[in-house]
Amino acid sequence: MYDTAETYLKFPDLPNALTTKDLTVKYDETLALQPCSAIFPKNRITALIGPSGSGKSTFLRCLNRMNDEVAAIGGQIMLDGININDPKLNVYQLRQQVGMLFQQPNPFARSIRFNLSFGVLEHQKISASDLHQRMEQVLSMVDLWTELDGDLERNALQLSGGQQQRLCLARTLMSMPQVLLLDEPASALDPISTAKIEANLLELKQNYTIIIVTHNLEQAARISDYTAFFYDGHLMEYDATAQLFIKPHLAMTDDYLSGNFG
Amino acid sequence: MNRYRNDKFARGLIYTIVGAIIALIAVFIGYLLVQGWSTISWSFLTTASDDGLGIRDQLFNSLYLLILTLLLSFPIALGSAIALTIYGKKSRFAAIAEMAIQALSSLPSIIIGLFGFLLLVLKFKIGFSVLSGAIALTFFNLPILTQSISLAIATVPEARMTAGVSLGVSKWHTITKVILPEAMPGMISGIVLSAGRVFGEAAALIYTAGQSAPKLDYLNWNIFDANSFLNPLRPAETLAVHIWKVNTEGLGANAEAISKGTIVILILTILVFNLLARQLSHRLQRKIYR
Repeated sequence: MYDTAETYLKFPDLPNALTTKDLTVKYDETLALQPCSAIFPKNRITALIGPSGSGKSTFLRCLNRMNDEVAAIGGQIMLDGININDPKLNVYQLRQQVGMLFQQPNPFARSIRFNLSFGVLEHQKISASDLHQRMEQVLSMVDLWTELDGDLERNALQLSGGQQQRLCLARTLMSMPQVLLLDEPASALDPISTAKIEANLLELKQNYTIIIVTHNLEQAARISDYTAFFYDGHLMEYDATAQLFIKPHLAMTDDYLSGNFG
Repeated sequence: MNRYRNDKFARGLIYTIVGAIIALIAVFIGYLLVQGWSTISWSFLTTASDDGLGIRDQLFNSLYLLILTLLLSFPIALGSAIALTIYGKKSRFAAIAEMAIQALSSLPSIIIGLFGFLLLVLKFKIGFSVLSGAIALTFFNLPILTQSISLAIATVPEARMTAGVSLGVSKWHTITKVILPEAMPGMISGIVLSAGRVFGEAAALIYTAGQSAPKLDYLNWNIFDANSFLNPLRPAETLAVHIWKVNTEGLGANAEAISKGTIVILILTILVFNLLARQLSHRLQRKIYR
């Protein structure tokens, strides 16, 4: 066991998109996430790393209130000066602002058109031409528009796994969110599809704030600007990725990065 | 090559068993068809039983009862299935409800019939009627229908719900717009299979819908008239009950012929249901997954 008393958190002095203050997650009687305060800079990619069960996915899922039904969430999550952990908040609208992508591609078993328009049409009145334009736009952002020849009527399940995941990414972009939460988005994909998703993310960070949970340390090193290391429900170390991967401050982080953990 | 031979042997055995079952069913249905075929004629289907052989009213009663039963049981079964598989998933309530449903599904239908007789016919004074019969059949049908709809919903991957919810869509809208359409082919097969059971049910109806088939006027659309075909408060003997009655009472020289002919019509109708169900659910599946 490592000592969790000493942490090293160095947040950048940049405009931030999302911050948490003493965020806790409690399943029944166990505290799965210890009070966690973190800052996520705007238009940057922040990677959350750490061993399985360290709380990083749990933390991520709080950020668009996906844990509400299974756990008690304490503390504050600030987005645009609003505490989005407020029980009175409209979570449906929040999720249009904070999109999420999962480990397994999860398109609906319907047309690409349905996949893209379903969520947005629940919240916004958009003219058919605007809708079509936005679909073309988001599909282009994930390099699917040309791959599909602009055919929106195809069933999403006919696409390859990598294409499905990029479609899901495009689907979250339809509502023009501010923040994207990615929960190991490439762990079910082959290396080529992974590379494509990573390239998309690097493009997308110009306009979006991205928080990604990953078990692939090379991926974290390749694409993220900042990295947060979680252990046993604690946020242990937070630093610029270049700094954290080359010279981590905590022995625990060093051990995890070099594979000597445990 | 011992394994190769074993495999061949096992496969041969399985094919033989399957073949034997198919042959048995074919012989059984074929026998009934051959026996009853000579009775069947246009007038058998279009005249009332009071006037001789006919089963016109029984056939209509069976269909009418089936439709009413489905109208009553489908919304309840759909609601319960959604509650059990999605909202109340893994809850204690769902576990208890599922046990109750299983218990209800193994209840002998004559018990349901007598329960309906006591409660609906006598206590609520609805009398022997289409309505009493439809309510009794709803009790009979609910467990199976709820189970098959639950199964159809459960085959839709949970990822659909996560996807819908993460896009800011409510659970309810994700259910109605994503999950139910995807479960539709499975639900249709479930509905039609249960329809076959309902259509052939006799015991639950003998004491609820009654054993008499008053002559119906198919041009009388006033549902309050005793002889209107749509009147839900008139007694309504169905095909299955007719078979039972003709055989137990054995009235008239034609009783055996009538019984055999009715059996053929009953079986053919159920076969048609099943074929239709397959067609419909295949077509829907293709439409959804295209």
